Amino acid sequence: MRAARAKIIGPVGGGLWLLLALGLALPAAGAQAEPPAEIRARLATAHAAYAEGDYEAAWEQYRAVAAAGYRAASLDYNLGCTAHRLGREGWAVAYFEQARRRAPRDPDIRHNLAYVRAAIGAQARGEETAWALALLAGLLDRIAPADLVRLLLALVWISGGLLALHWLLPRRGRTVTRRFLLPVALAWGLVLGLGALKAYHVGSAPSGVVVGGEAQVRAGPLEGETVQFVLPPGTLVHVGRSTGAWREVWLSGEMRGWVPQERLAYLAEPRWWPAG
Amino acid sequence: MPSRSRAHDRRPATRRAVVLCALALLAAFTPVLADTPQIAVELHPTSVPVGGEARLTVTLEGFSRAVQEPQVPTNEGYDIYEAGSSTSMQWINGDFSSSVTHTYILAARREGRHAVGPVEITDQGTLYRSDPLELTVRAPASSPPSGAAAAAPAGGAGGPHAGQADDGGTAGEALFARVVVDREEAYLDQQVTLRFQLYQRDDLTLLDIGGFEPPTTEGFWREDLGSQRDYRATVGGEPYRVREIAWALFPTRAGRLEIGPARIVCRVPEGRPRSRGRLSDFFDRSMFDSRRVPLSTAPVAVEVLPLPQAGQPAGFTGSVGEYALDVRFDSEQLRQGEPFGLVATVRGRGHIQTIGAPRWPDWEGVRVFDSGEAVSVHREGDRFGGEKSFTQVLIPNRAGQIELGPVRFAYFDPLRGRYRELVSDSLVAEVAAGAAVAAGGGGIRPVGEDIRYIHTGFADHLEGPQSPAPRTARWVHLLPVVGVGAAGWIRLRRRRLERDPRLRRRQAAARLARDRLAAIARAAPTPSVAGEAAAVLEAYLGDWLGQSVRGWTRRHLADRLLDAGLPEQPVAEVSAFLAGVDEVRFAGGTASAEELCRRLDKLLQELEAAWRVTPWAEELP
Repeated sequence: MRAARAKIIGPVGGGLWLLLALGLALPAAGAQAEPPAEIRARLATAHAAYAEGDYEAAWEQYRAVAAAGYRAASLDYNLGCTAHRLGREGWAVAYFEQARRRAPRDPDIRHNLAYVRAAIGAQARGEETAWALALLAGLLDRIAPADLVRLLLALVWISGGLLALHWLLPRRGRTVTRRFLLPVALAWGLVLGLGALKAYHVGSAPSGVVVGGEAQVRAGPLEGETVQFVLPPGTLVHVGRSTGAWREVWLSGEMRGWVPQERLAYLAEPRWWPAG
Repeated sequence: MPSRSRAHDRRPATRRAVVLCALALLAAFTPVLADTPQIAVELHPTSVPVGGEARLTVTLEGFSRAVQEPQVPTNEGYDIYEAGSSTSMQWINGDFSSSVTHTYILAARREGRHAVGPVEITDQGTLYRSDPLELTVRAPASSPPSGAAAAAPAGGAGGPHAGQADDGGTAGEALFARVVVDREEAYLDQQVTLRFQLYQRDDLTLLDIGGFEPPTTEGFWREDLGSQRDYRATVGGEPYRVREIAWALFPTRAGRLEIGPARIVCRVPEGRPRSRGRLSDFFDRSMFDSRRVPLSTAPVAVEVLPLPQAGQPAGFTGSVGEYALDVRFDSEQLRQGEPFGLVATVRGRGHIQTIGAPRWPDWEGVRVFDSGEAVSVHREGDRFGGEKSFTQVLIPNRAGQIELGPVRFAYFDPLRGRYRELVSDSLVAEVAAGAAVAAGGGGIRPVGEDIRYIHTGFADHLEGPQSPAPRTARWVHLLPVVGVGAAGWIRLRRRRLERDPRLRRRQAAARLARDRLAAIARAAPTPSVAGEAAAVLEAYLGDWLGQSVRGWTRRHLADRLLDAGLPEQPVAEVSAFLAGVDEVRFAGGTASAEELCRRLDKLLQELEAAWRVTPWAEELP
């Protein structure tokens, strides 16, 4: 009996491992086309300019790569470093924050973002006071949406394969596959729950950063409106409606108003689908 | 022992209470002790012609609420009329102060130099006395007084409305206008109240007023002091109705400034009034019985003094008036890294719109952003004033106690002729730790002294602007779903076959028949091949019909197959094949084994196709 079971577990376990590997590997199956030589040359020039202290040139080259539509957490990170060297702290916070959202566990990005925010005296992130909420917020903060999608796809392959095996195997084989059904169901619950929380977390995150010096927040979208408060560069704000060249921003329910849109850098929403 | 213990405890408490009461009493009386009662007496103008008016203002500061009304001695050179009083209350740096201003009109009656006052006040049994002033009453002018224009209305010089000046000058005119200022000498940006007054003697009927052109006030900032006021006055013993419009003027440059003439056009009745009563007057006078009387005032000069250089405090920004300062935070709970407002409000009398910002303390431990100012203007009688708030947004850099020092506001007090500086209490704030820091390790803290170096090896990991490959790859992840569907279908089919043996036999009939046929074909050709081929066909048909057909006649078999729904053609083919087999077996037929197998294979194909149109086919999984 034990020998027979081992005879079945062997192929089933191997199949499950194969499915898991497929699930994790296939999201990246469509490998990215390599960037053209021009982009590589610009990056190399930018790296060299930064190393030589020519931050203005490095800034131009990195921005040209970004303007060509290329994205990477490291590119945002480098732009943040260069902006900091140029004294453009608002832009530094914007790019570091953007990089952090793409690669939330990158220690360099987290360090530099914290450094710049502390240097300009910006408010530390994280409003939660209860330890459980703080723990959850910290967890969500370190998980990229694409990570959750990877887990989800792996679960699709594992559970699909497991179910297929469970139905196709003879009765004695099903006793083996049945063991995996509950853990897989729990994993589904965990991943879907985390996904819902992460979606809320992403949706409620600030979507803009004050750049280019202090921004006077006015009561209405006109130059003559009363200045309600002033935001220092690097302040993360929520961005709402737009009227002409003005955007509505708010920090909390009470602190809201209008600023010229050229005083804001917009943070792109993180990609959910894993990149190749 | 317990009682002694209690007594021992009570003694310091009692001592503390006594000390606290003493301190409270001292604090309560401190303003009174500090502010000795003062009487300020102003007379404007100090020189008037006979029949003219001067305004006497008596301001009482620091007196108790029980103070009696000021006693102004009478004089045969002028008549005195009370013109009301006003009270002003102020908070300056937390200290409360109030003042009462009594106004009197002095109507000059006799030429000469006449003493005004001293004004006497009795407060809580103590007599206070001001310094005496002097009013010079000039000889009456042949024309209306300075700044006044008069007109003899209808009737001409001999008419009853003629300007018969019993005291000379304006006194006898039935209708005249003038502009007056409350001071002929003022400091830069000190309020000068300009009044345009239209005097109408009681026995004159005024039909219409129009074409008013206010006086030009070049060199002044002008603010309206409300709408027209009407009151009664006595000029040269004659009762007049006075219409008055007032402005607050603020000189914007030093030197002698001239207020230009004002113009107004009145319409008065033409001809002698009749004594038949008002109703008959109404019907007798038509619009053609009136006369247009244009009036123009003479210009008035004001000598504007520059602000003194001596005693000018640091941070003085040119504010002139009487002001109080109030400083407060706009939030009770201050947190590190969170913005809050520091609001300094300057309120009082003066040209509030133009006052400068206060002198802020040295900012230490906070980052500061100027957040603008707000002005609210109000008028208190003829005095212009209001409040102006200056806001600074502060962001504490650290938690703990932050002491910022006082806010200072310097201004020039024109009534006292000296500079004053208001100093708030030192600003001390307790700043709580930022939310993330307070949460304990939830926040982000710098761990190095500089940012870390750039990344260099990521060129191969750039996400390109167009990446169709990953999108097509997404469809790969549908394969598990397809696989699950297929597995489910297979499982359903299996379960159905397990439940129905007859269906399972039918399902396997063709495959079994072909397997047997293949075995026959591989075997050496013997005479028994025909019998084996017949057995294969009978087994196949038996699987389909659910019973053995061995031993059935061909006729019976054909009937059952037709009953089962098979078309006639395949049934005939079955009968023909069995007949051929019998011929080979029993009559020496010549058909070879290969041919029999080929025919049987073809027959099985036809039967498979034929079964699919029978009702049984629906049962097939």
